Amino acid sequence: MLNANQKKTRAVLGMGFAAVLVLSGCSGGNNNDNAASAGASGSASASPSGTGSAVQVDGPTVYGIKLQDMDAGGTLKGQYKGQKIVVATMAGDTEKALKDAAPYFEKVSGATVEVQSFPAESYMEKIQLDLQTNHSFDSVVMPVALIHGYAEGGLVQDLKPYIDNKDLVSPNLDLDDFIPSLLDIYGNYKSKLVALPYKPDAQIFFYRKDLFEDPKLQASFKAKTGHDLKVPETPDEMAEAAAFFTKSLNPDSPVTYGYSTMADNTSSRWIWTNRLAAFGGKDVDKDFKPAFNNEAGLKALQFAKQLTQYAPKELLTLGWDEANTLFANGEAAMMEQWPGLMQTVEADGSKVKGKVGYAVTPGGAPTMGGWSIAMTSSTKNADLTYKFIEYVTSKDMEVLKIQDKMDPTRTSNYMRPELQQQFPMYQTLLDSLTKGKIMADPDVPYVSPKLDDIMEQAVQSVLRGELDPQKALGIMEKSFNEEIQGASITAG
Amino acid sequence: MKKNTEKTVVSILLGLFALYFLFPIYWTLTTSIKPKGSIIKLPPEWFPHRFTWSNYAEVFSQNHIGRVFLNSLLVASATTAVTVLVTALGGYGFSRFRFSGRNLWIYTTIVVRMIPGLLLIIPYYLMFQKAGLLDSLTGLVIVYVTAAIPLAIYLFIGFYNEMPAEIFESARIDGCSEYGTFLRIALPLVVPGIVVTSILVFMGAWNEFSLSLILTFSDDKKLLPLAISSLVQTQKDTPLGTLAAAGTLAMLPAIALSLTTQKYIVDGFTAGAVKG
Repeated sequence: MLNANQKKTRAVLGMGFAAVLVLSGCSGGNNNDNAASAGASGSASASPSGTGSAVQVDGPTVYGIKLQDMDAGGTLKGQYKGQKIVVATMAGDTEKALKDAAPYFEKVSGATVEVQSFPAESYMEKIQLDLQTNHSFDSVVMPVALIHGYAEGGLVQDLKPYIDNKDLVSPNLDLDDFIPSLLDIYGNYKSKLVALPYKPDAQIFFYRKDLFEDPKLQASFKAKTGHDLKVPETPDEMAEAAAFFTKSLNPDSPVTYGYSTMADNTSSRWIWTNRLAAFGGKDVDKDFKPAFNNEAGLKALQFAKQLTQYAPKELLTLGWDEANTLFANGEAAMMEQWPGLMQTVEADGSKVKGKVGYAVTPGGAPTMGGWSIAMTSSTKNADLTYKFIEYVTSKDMEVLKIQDKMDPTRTSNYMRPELQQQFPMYQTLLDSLTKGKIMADPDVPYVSPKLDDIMEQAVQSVLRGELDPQKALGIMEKSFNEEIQGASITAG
Repeated sequence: MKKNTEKTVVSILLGLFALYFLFPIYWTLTTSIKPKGSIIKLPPEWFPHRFTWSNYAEVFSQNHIGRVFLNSLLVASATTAVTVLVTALGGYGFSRFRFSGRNLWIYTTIVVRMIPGLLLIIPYYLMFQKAGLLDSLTGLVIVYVTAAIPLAIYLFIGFYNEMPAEIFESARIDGCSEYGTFLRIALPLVVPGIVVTSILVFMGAWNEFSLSLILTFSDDKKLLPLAISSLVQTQKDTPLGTLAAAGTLAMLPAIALSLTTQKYIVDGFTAGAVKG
């Protein structure tokens, strides 16, 4: 038997539970959050009419820059009222950048934009499944190699016909303003422009400015090596500096390791590819044939193995967080990493805050990452989708997405004095993006992730000392050929 | 003397186990209230020196965890309610009545449980696409109920089998109908079993990830595991404080359930099919 108190408690719990259920039943969509936030930073002076009359949107001021081109050169006049597009991407900064831009686009176009995002570990499978079956996405923002895979499979479409449509295209599009290597590598596939660059990425060489500029260390370096201590530009200079700063080789070193990077089994290949192009090699050529089993590939792999002497013993287990924490704790003098490392080193609690400099990776041919935005072949609102793609990659809207840690893809934005002043790394990033030749994931449709795995296995075996570099190249080449031939991809 | 030594050893072992299981919870809790600069420190801050609620504020304002939490609560509760309703009756039928094909149906139900859930994802996706159930919480409830029924039936059969047949016979002699016997005799006796089954089903639906990832799309329909997983980043620092705050919130129902229903859990685990 229940006593009165127990009954009362249960009744209260039951009522609370029922209330929660009712509340959750009422918790409908909240797509207007972003619109509300846009209203805070910019404002619309007229509602979209759908009749072709101009919609004035006052652009926000971002990093001291007043954004002007809020209606795609006057081509957005609320004419898409009642239409809706869905844009899919990975959860995180890309999602946020799209959601920040969407309210402005909605105001000037009259359309509704829904940004759907999926977790980092599984967004690829989810988006691909939908592209092949459900066709609910109008646009996707994805890594370049995946977009090219979709292009090969006919899942995304050529943007050229839309760009050539004078009634549709913005007069401010200016394709030549995109960093040429980005537009070429990110956008073009088999003579079609299948995407526009959205988020650029390149491996950057980070170094401890305070150590490289220390007169005592400079003198010690000169005495030991006969050379001046300077920011390395070549692999040889890099190896010399790394050896000098490795405590096990030089007990006077103020740091434990000369070199560090992330090199777990998803990222170790970049130690190799950061030098591969520098020595004149490539991962695959234009005919999708492996182009690394040569002198360049061998020298780059031998150099990667050499770097492990100056790196932490646990190098092959270091992922993003572990490697960055190690560098932010002042353990290493130099590190190759994606630009996002800068947030960690400049964060509160970092022991190297204000002490880190950056340069193009030694050899001058860094590995490039990158995301681009494409239009699906199944979209029912092609013109509207094109206008959205054009809008979020426009010169002014690129400035807006810098807030979400999306660096610009247009040269003109790197030249803006306001941005140069607030983002001193931009000149290095621009140089790196201009010089980059090899993608982080081999640009081969369908099998790119598989090729990543093959490279990782071989490079890890070499770095662990289990496999001879020449043998590893042979194994990689054989496996590449098998995978690429198995996928039956025709050359472009 | 021997008894004391035994007691000490048992206490030490229990202490070690408690530490092993409680430390991750402690670390999540403390990380959720640490300022960002204190989270990635080496050596780690074992006891937070400074406190902040900013991680919780962020997870509510930017990640809309409140809406996601309610979605999860709705789906898990509905799944539990429907599953328990169906299987309390089904289990009773399988336990009390002898009919042709009875064993076949019991085994079929158990075999369904053995099919790896991942194999069913694509068929579900295609069926839901045709039925217009993609990106709907109702669809998720249907899938979760389907997945939970075999285990719940199996448990209920065990719970009802434990009850002496004489009780039911007495009820029939006293004039109780079959439904009356179920409602007045079996159901009150199987309450601990209902609680245990409810917790297992609720937590199963609460923690499920793969199916909700594939079958839902929009932010409005996201469940907790999906939203928490979305916080993990690549090529940039994962917001560990926010992640810990979301994780702490996700733990609340499990903690609340285990604290409020402890008595029933012990009864249930010792009474039914789940005992060894």
